[in-house]
Amino acid sequence: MAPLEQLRRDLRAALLSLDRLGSNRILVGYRKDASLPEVTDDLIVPVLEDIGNDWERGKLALSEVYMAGRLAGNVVDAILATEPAGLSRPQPRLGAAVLDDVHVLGKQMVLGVLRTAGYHVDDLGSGVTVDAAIDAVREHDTEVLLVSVLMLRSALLVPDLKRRLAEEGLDVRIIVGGAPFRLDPNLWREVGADGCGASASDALAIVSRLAVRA
Amino acid sequence: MTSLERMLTTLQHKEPDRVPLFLTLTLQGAKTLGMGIREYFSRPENVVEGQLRKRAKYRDDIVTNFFYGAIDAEPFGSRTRWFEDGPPNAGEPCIRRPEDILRLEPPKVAESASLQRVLRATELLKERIGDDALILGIVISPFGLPVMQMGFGPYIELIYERPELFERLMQVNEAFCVEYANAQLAAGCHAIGYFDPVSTATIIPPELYRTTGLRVANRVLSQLNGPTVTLLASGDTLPMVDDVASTGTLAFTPSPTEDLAEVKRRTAGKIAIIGNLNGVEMRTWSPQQAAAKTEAVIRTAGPGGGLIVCDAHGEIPWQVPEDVLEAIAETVHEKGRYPLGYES
Repeated sequence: MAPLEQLRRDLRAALLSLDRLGSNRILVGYRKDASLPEVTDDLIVPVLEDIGNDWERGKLALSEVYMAGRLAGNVVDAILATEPAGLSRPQPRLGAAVLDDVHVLGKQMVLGVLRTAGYHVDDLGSGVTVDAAIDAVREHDTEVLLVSVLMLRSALLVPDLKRRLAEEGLDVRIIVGGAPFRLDPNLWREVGADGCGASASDALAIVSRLAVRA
Repeated sequence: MTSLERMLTTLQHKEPDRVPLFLTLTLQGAKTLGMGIREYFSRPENVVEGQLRKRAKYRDDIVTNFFYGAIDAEPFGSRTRWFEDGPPNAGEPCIRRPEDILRLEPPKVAESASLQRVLRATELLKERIGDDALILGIVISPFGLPVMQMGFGPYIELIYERPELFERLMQVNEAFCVEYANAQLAAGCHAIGYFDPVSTATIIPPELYRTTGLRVANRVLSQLNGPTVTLLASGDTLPMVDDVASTGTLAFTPSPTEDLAEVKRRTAGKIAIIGNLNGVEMRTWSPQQAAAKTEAVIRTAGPGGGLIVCDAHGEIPWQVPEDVLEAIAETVHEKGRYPLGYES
């Protein structure tokens, strides 16, 4: 088998060139000598993080990150279909929502990356008001709420959401992401979020850290 | 110099009497007139009054007939979502499946009540402003409109995987965009702001842009009966700024996070800069910070002309305080007088 670093470079190249067969060949090949969690942790997670980091550095475009993440999800889904035990991880209960905003791309990318990495995430919807978010958190027993926004006004709803969660006695960590937080790096602290991801792969890194503690 | 003369001079990369200023206040007209945002945009007279009061208060050089971005999607069947404290958004996508594109036809501007309000506002602005200030019309580019028509994710997939349907959608959107932009020019706009938010390196790789958004821009801009400036919604522009300039557009909006000195070096004499104050951060600035940041923009990009001080996104958020806007305007009027005293 090729060294791990070479496999990661090959998988990155295959995903970014939208080479489904090549991506599948690398992952299935690695699976022969590795467990499913190892396939995820050794190859998929580092490669998706690397792609996301390159978007943050301006080396890749959002469309490339989206298409690569989508392909990774499709390939992993196909592999999982042949794995009766599936892939599950110790993790906090995760939910993702677009707060009072119907721009869903960010949430789709976060859901895609996290599910591809083996995390279960409840999709709490888009255009979700603070009241609806409270109801959804209660219904799903959410412990970590991933909030995606595009509009500044939606970002500024997070303090209200945090206050209402506290009033309802719901112990939920709020991780935010989206354009306003990229353009104003201090905004996530201002709105009282517990963390901020600049990209979908950032969300993956944050959730991975939280999962270790779960 | 009138504001229009000032604008035309700087767009020719010459130094006017001072750096022009464009405060992209649209929603704020509702506050000024003491009404809700939806009510404000229901009558063209409100928008005109809001723009006139903006210009009187801040002494800026551009007025716009811009209502809100989602208005361009309304003739396609999109329903706009309204908020009390932010810009209206396009609602659920009107193209639900890619195959819907095959049945899509360009809507007629004359048949859209929303667009007729914009055109009426343009006529009224022309009556009131004449040629004193630049009247800027706005269209959403055919390449950007599908984000509202079908949602961002499905649109990216369309670009990559369904080139025939992508081309068909561009044909429809281009026909609509050209008709709408030319109607605005005929109604009194001096120039069109070509709002093209997908066409930045943040969103799409430059090589793909050159075979998609750039071709669309070239086709559309060549059919317009007036000049354009290109508005790029805070995305990174340096990797494709030469391409943007090649469309013949007169000015563009670099990202607030880009190195303005590098942008100026790359674009001087070729395409003017509109920007690049950070509208999202602006909400938290003190007046002193606003003045310092405005002066930095003037110092960096003002020498030699080719600068219009503005926010980078094209729509200053509702939450930005008035004293910050006043500080920006004061700084342009005090520190933006040519000769600036900085080297070109």
